[in-house]
Amino acid sequence: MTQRRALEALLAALAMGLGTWFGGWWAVPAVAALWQLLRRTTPPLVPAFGAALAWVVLLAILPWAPLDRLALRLSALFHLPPGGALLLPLAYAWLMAWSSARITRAITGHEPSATRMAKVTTAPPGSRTDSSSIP
Amino acid sequence: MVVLGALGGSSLWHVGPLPRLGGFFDPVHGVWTVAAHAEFPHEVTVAIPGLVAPVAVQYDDRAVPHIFAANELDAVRALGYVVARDRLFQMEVEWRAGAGRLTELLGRDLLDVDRRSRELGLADAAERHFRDLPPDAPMRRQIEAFAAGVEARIDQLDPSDIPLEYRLLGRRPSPWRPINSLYLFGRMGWTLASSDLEAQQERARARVGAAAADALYPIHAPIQEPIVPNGQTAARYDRVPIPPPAPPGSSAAGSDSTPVAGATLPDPVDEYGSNNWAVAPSRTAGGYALLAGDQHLDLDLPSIWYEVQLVVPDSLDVYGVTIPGAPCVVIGFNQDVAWTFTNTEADVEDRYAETVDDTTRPRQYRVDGVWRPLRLAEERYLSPDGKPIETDTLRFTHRGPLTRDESGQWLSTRWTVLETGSELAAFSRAARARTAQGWLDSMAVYQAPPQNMLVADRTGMIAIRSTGRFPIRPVVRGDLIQRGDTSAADWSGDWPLAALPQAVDPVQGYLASANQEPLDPRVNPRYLGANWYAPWRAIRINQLLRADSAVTPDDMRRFQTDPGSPAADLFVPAFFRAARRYPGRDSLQTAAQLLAQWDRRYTPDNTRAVLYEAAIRQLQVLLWDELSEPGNSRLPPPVTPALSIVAALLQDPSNRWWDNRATPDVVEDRDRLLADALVEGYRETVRRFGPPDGGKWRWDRIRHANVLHLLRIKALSAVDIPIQGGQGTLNPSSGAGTFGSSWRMVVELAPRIRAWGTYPGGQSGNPASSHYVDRVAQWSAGRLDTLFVPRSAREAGSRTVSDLELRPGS
Repeated sequence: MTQRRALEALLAALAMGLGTWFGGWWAVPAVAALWQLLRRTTPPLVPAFGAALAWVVLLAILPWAPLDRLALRLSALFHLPPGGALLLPLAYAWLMAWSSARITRAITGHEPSATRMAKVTTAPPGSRTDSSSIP
Repeated sequence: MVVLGALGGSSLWHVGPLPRLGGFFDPVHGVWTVAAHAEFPHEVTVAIPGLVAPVAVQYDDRAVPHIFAANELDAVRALGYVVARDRLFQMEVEWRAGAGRLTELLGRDLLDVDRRSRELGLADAAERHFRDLPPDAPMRRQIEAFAAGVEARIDQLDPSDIPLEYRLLGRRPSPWRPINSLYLFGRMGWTLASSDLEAQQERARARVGAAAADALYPIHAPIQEPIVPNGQTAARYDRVPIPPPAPPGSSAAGSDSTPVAGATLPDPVDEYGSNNWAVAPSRTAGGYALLAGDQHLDLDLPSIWYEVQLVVPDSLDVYGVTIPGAPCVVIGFNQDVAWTFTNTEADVEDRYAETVDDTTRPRQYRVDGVWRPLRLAEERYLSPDGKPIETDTLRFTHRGPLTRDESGQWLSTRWTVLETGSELAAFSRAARARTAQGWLDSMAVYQAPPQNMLVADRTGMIAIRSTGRFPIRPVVRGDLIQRGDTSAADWSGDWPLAALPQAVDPVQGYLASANQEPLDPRVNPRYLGANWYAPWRAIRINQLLRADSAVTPDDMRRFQTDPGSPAADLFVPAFFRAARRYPGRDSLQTAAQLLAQWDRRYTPDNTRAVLYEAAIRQLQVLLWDELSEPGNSRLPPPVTPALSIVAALLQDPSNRWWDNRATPDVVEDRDRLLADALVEGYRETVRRFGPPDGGKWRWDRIRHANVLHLLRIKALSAVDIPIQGGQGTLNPSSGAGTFGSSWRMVVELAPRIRAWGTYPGGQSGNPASSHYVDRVAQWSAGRLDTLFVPRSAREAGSRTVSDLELRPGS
């Protein structure tokens, strides 16, 4: 990831963190979609990283000892190794932001849809493809 | 698209049992915020509507709130607030269990539990009781003040304060109504005073005849160590005849019906119970009265108990445990008096076979030749989203709820628990008593569930009374189904207070109860109940107290987890005697040698109790084979008779009960059956745990306490806790290990009272809190905390960890 992409991810994290704080979980897909809409060339991985980072920070500001005890209980509840439950919200945020950005990209024409991809893959040799749509 | 669709869908809607994932995982508003307020802040001030004056609540380092209020109703409001702060979900489950409305929180799976609760008439009784309470009745004002405190807490709930369980279920806390406290007490009555003696008798009679059934489930215990001292210096083993079982098919019941097989008998009930004892100053090392209590109930997380102190200057200073949802301290002490309870196990529930006008949907029942209308009530069971799941019609006679039993007959039930009145008010009055006698006087109006109320005071008085409403019946015994078609079968009154089993300052210098028969039938043979718990715990505590004339508080603590077993003291020699009669049986001799290595104490590191337990279990299977045979009965088998009945049979070596019907060519006698049981027990133990010295016979690897979360979620429970004790010991544990000592307390009635206590759990219901299970380890080890009992807010300050100030507000 380039420095520029890292900065983008940080900014996305900030936006998603604030969105989650003042709004709720839905801020993650919403900000990811908006981000993708505004910065069409940004790969969906960037808001995904931003979402996971935002939620890591938001989890980290909770008191550690109770968080640890809770994570142990929830990990047992979900049949995960100790602490494994802490990865669930991060995976959730990552996937939510990534899929939201990806769909936005497809809808706005910067991602080949299944049909377009089919056309691209069946195009005659030498015809031009839109390389910018491939992350 | 698929990923977003799946995530989005599961974020917005419940998928199966899962909560909505978005709100659940959200680190600011979701499940993780349960950690945010798991520990209380150092200082916080909140406004509570209805408070007359500010209330100071100071939590000590054990998370016990000490409530200092200017008047008693403010103290009760504050109690409602602090209990809800720690135990809101538990409170909702408990009142709903009493009201038969669990489906509205937990869904259709709980329908049968709700149905049973409503059929018993618990909700109906609580609603009638609440309706009849005058607006200015002290009890009504008390439960309303408590409800106001709980409601204030619910109204102020920050999203991060919503307990974890609600988040897992995707629900929100329901409002708290004053009647909820009454539902809760009805639920306690169900737990403690519900008996099915009539059903057991019916089942036993159908299989082995009336004479044998009466002997196996007797109205008087064959081993006597009564609560009210009878002058004995040791337990008395009465010689009681146990008539042989009637031949199969000879019983009257169900001979033309399809038999129901019962390969195994339900467990005997004598694994549960409670202990309490008090020692007079003449027998204590410090010269002050000592009192100990130990209630054996379901081991739940959060615990059934919540520790608290309520102080109102010049009026009230009570410390102890309350049941979350009750507006008072139930067990505890004030500056002068300490008290505790065990369950009396009295029979306060009778069943009447009613003559009805329609066997499927009756609307009338006949009494004294006249048809009377049944009171009908339509009951609706709702799902969590408010949709009807099921409807029922409840029917009531003048005696109580009318239900169909397992054989199809319509039975109405009269039960004192459905006719209670002043229990909560009695607790509140008693908390202000200055003497043991004053305390007993305050509790005189208490009706149900009957309790062996033990009390001691600083003057050195000790007393016990089996308190409750004991009906006067027109028949000698209440463990048989009565005729419903005559009013002559109805109760004609209650035992007068003076007739209740009671003792004050006995010559022996101590008092003890452990759910045994309260009165020696040689002193007073009046019917009080039947099928009494085997008195092993009562015998053991009497042994310990008789042997110690200088008891200390630490002795009292030690006795609570004493590993000795009077049952083993009786049965182990019987096994040895049997083994000596058959010297040629190698496996028998091996088993007997292994058993001889046991000191008959259920210590965690012993490796032979497991063999004894297996042998006793096998003995009961072989001995009571006639009860588990289907015969011609269409009824299920009765519960296994108490071990005290086996003890009585030991005195009759050739009784036909000893014969094993599975071996028609051999007529076993006592020693033969004991020998067979020991061999079978040995084989079973080897099969399950390997060779005797392979390390797997250690008691702490076998017997565990399991303190289960209310929703039975293992991840939120404390399981596999090693325990010192077993069946029939003072710290009993058997079966699934989900029953046991729920609140251990020792009080020294010195000029300034000192007290110790603990329970298996913690004050907080929040699994992220350091006080969720912080007491489990010391409970398991048999240790007690020194209870911090400040007299004033200033004194409390020295150990205050968190200050909560409640201010009058709107």
